[in-house]
Amino acid sequence: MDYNQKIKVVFTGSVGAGKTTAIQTISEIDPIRTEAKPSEVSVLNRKSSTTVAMDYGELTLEDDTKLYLYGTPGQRRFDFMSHILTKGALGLVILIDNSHSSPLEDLDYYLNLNAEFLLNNPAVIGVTHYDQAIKPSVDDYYNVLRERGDAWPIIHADARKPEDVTLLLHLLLATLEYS
Amino acid sequence: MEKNQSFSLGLIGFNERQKETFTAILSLAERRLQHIWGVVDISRADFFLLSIEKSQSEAFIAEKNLPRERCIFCTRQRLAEYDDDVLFFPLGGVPQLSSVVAVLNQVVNTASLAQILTGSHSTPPIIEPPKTIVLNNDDNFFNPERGFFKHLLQNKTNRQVYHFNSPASSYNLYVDSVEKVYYCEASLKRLDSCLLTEDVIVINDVSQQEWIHEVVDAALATRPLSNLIWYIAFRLSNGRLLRGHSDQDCVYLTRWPDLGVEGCGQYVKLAAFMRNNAVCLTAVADKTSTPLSAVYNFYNACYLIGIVEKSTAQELYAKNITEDKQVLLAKITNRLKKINSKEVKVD
Repeated sequence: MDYNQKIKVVFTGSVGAGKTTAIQTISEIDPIRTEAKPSEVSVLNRKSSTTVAMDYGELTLEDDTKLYLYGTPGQRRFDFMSHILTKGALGLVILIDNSHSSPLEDLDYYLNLNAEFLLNNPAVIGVTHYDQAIKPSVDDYYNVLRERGDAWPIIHADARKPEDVTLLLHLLLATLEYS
Repeated sequence: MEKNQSFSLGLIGFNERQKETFTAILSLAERRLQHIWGVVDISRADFFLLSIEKSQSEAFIAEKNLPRERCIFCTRQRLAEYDDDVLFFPLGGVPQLSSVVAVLNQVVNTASLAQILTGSHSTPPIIEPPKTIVLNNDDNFFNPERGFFKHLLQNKTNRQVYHFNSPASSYNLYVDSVEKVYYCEASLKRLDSCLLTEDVIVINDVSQQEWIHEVVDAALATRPLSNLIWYIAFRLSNGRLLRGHSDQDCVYLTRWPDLGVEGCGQYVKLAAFMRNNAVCLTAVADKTSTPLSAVYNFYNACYLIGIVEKSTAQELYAKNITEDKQVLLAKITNRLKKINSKEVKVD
């Protein structure tokens, strides 16, 4: 499979942030998921299974071309998959679980991990699980971006809601068009 | 006079948005009205609500052949007492609830019921609504320094509950100004009709015990206070620019608003443009093909949550996107819209 030639968007971010769910929410096919029992202790505490290679979904556009939706694994030992999947992607959707112990560091981590891709391509950030943890606030996330010199949009998102996931993608497209 | 008789009201000189607002206020007033009132087409109306001041109405009434005793007038002037047929509009296009109740209860008594029921005006009124409502300077701009919204913006210390009471429903909105969050069982959209009038909003402090019982134990969803302020400012702006602001100043967004707020999602392009360019609001409207009134609403809301700054000079960046890429983006956008409108079934 040549990942470079596809019209694709990649969902990345911390374990349990909702990457698999987001793709499942809007994909028109049953997403292909590669789940397994997690091997990292920090992940074991949160989930009984997690993505180990990638998630994959599709949307068919007007002329039967496909928009491919890829999700990266959350466990950091699979970070190399990010570099494979983002090649040729339109942009990156970074999902951060606000109820994690250190969500601001998570954001910093994924921006660093994808720094090379983000030199020429946009990202949008969805903060999930806000109903479980109100801190950090969106202002705190923007402070992280400001310190880095980044200007990506951030919204609260529920990966189970189609309107939230499509809003993230609309934002990505608008960023492509205007940024 | 018979209780609960039905009367109809024709609105003259109001645009569609203002008619919707009036109808919403009328529904709020329902319980306190002596009769059943509805807004109808002017040709079928028992009474006529004119958007003009009473003192300026004579020529208009004569010209349009309206029955004088069944006309109600509007005023934007705050007075100690109003005539029975004068309705007070404290905000642009938003009538005061108590005034609606008083006037509609009174006009039926004043007008001859026989005349009303038989529709005595032999010649139907000639209706050609004025192009725009004449507003005084105060109504041309959005002033957030009023009533409930002023209180919400200025309170920085207390936990408070805003009781929204209307005949149809009642909601409690809990605000923690220190944590900068709010809690409400209803969606913001449900508060819409209550936002348009202050009569139905009661503000109280909340004790720690009440807070635990009403908010924590009830597990109400937590939302950022900035989202609430954004939404209310957007809704109350009603196409008017903030008082003291100019649409010729070059401005830009210092960061993105939370576009997940109800009503905000449709302004993604506007937000993206204002985030990446510093231009005046009229240019924003032009470049993004957005109505200026919507740009005002959006700007006001963003300004009040503190994410707008002025620029000393215009900075307009043209991004070179190939035609192929533009087509691709349009196709993806269309596909995403179908997901939300559920035009495409997911297998």
